[in-house]
Amino acid sequence: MPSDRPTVLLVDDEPSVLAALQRGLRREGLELRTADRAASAVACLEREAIDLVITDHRMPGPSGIELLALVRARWPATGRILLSGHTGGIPAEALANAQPSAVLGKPWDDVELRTAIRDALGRE
Amino acid sequence: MTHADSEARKSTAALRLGVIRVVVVAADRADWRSEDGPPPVAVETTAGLARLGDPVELIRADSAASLAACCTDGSVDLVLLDRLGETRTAGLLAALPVQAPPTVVVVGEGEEDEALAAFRVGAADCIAFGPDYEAVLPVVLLEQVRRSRSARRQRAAEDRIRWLEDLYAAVVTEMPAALAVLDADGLVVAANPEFDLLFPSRGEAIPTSASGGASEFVEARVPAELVEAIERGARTIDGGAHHSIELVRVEAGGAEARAYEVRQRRLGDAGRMLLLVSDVTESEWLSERLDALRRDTRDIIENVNSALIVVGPDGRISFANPAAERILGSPGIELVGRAIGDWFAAPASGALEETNPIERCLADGTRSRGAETMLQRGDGHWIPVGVSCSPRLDADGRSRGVVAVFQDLSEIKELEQQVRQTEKMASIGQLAAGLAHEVNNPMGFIHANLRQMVEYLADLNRVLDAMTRLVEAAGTEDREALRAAAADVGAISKEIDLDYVRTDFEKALLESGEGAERIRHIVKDLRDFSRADPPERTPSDVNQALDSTANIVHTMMKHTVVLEKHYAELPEIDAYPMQLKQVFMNLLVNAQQAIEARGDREPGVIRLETAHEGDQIVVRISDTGVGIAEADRTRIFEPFFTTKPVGAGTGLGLSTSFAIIERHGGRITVESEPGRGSTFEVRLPVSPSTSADAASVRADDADARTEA
Repeated sequence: MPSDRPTVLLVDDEPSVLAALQRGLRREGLELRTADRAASAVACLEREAIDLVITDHRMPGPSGIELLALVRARWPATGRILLSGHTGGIPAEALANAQPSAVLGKPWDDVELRTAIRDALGRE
Repeated sequence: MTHADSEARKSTAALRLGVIRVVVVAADRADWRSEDGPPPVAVETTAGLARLGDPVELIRADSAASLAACCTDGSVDLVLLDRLGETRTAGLLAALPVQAPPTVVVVGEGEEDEALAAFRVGAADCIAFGPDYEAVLPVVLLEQVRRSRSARRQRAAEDRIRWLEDLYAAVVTEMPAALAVLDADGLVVAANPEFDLLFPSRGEAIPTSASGGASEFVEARVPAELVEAIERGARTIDGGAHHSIELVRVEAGGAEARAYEVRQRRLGDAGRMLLLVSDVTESEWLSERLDALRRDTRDIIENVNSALIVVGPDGRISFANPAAERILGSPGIELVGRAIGDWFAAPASGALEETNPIERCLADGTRSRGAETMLQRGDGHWIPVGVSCSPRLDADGRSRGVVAVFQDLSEIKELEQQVRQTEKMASIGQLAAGLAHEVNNPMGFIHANLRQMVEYLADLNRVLDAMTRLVEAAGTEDREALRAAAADVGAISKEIDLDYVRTDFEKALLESGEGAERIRHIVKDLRDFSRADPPERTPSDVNQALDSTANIVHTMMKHTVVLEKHYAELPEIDAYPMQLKQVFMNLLVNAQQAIEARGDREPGVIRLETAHEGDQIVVRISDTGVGIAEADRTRIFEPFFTTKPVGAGTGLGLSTSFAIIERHGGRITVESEPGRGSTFEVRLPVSPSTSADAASVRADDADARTEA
């Protein structure tokens, strides 16, 4: 379905988090996709064009920051936001590789999240 | 028996001389009639000697050499030369040694010239061999033997005097004290070299009342204090005393003060006086040191914070220092003489091992070093104490009682408890990242869902408002209004996607409820873990303690670690389950960190295994982490040893774990292969030895009371 609505991929191993994000972004005019880990996120990215990836950090397999580093390398045009319950332990080097446009903590603030999304998508 | 005979016997009996040894040189005479050859001496001589009354030992000599040999050892009383002729007699006498006994020469009857000649060459006496020969011989011999013996005695006495003089001279010269004899005017009559050293002005008058004072004597380098003391001593003796002793301190400007002992003694009746001055600085110094040592020891014993008591063989206190009095004492009650057992609980079983360390030491000499036990303070409180005691033995190895030192451990126990608790909280701290994630995830969606549900509620209210209006319109029978209201409900429902909202509202509620439940669970687990144990051991399920701890830890680290559980059926043991959980937490956190330290993304494995082996419960926690370097393996149980980065560990986890397991009477060991992983093994006795732990159980009990 070709659409001018931006496509946003939400990645989290916690289904309730994905559900809550979808609820919150329901009326933002976004096409939402979900993945439960880095591997399925990459599969999704390879399947269709994704404008923005919002990912959790701590997941089974590669971490969120590692996923974003990969996204930056393979899909540099795709926006990158990290949304994590504990961002303290992330090495500076990994952050430099991934260069997320925003790092948000959980619990997240809806307004803050929407602003970060709009910034990442370059929308007004 | 004639009167004369008995007189003679009496006199000889009075002159008992013991065995008389006589050396005889007799001429071989042809007129001796005997078939058996010549007798040792003339038969007349033998008969005469027999009249002496004392036993006579005759020694035969036949040459100058054999005669001289007989006379050298001083045991021969007399030499008898029997009718040898002038020339031979003279020759033998000349050959006799200087110390030889007196010589009696027998000459033939009418040989007066020979007798004279014999006297000239040194004979002590001569006897003519006449008709009265046998009568004269014993008289002459007796006289000469007495002389000989008296001369010998005199020589011995002279030797002894010479020896004593030598000894006296040596002692006086060598004695380390100044010695002098003073005459009535205070002039030195005799002095030893030490005196000359001490009193260089020798020759001056020593002060006595007769000499009129010390002034001249002091002139030289003799210290004034010493001179004054001598003067005082002289006055004492002049006053009639036999002797005087005084100890004098001489302050030598700058140098160390010296001490002298001045002794004076009256010597004879001529007003002479013996003066003896000894430098006793060293022995004074020693006795001062001894006093100081005694004072120091007393100071230490009285001021040291440890209680020190001495208990006699009868088990009663014979000494208690102030610290001991503070602990054991109560106002108005004397400690000395009381039985030491009064302060300790009677052993439950009566076994010696359960007796308090002091009485045990009394009973069998067992020494203790810091043995923990409970003691009832003078005010009635039970406190934990660490007791060290040793038997006191006399020279024969018999017991003279026990000396014991002990300390109140209440504070230490409390601190230990605090450290344990702090460490416990720190071990949870190491899970912070995982904990934050596990709490913040549900918090995240609950928070988002709440906002969403507020919106949903607003949407639903709009529908409800429209419906309310529809119900009102239905009441008016205004069909137009009714239709409009119904259309409104439909439009709003469509706008808000009512079906979705109704379904999703419920879904959001359920999900939020589930998230809240997860948070509640985590908080409850943490709270349970943070709790302290009750003071008493409780029957505990080790599998349960391990499993619940593993579940907390696993919740926090499920992305990096796979848990494998192999639990055997275990009997319950009396233990402190919270402390066991703390040990398991430490081991699990370490295992997880060892796995993360590998730096790859592969999940590691932590294998939990329990087993019931004999009378022990074994818990093995193995990981596939980086392992422990050989050099570190011996140190990991030391307090404050850590290989973790600053802030990641307290360095107390394993040392605390070690202490906890030890307290349970168990052991904790480690095997590790760097690069492959580590296995920690905890062994716990199924029935813990009460002796190892009894004290600390009661100690905790006491802690609990203090806190209460």
